[in-house]
Amino acid sequence: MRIAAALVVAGIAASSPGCASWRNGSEQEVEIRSVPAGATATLLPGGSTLRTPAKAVLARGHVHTVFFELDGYCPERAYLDRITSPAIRLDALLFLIPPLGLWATEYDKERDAHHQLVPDPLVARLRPATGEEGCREAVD
Amino acid sequence: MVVARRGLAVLPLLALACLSPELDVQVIQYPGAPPRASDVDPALCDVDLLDPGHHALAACRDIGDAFVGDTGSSLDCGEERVTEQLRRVACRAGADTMVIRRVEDPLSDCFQARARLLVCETPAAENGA
Repeated sequence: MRIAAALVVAGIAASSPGCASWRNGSEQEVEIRSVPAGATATLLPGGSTLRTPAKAVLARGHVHTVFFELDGYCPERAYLDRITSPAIRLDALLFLIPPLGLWATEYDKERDAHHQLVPDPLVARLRPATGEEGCREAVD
Repeated sequence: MVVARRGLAVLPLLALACLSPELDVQVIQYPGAPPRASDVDPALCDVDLLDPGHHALAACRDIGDAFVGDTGSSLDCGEERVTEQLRRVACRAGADTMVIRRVEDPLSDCFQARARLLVCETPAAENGA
């Protein structure tokens, strides 16, 4: 009976990839917004552009930088960071079956499914451009 | 039972095999800012580290940004090593100054950081960096 149960669990685990891959996939849909809306957002790396508000499908494993431009407002730059996804905790369950736990974790790592892009939504608050000095970086 | 015990004994070795000394290094070079020639020795490259909001930043231009962090199984990923890695990346990118921001990750024990890579008109050191 125990052997049968172990075989069933092993079969389920083996037929599914890492838990984070199953739950997350290797890409994440991130909402990109600006205040006010209607700005052109350029995403790096890649250089694709979109008009805010919009959703972008991005690789989880890569950090991104977004440039915002809107007539009458100062250009802004915002960053998407990548952190470890809580979904990776599910892989810990597979550590009950040791080789599968390690395999699932490695599987997720290869696909960057164990990452999460933050913040989501990414919101840029644009400052009105007032005069030549208006868009200089605010410093102490 | 004996087989199970032996299996458990092997577990730490398997786990160790998955750990790596490598760090995840990512660089985003902004358009119009070509990287330095690859033969530049990062050890000889002087890159100043400024605090966010430092007055000298007004005379600086962003040429890119970089991230250094956990691969998911990184070892030796403390602040010192990550900062040194960012310095090397900044040097290769052609920057003379960088501003570091820590990336908080509750599920990683590594120090992870994002750096603005800058070229400053006046060396930051002369501005009291």
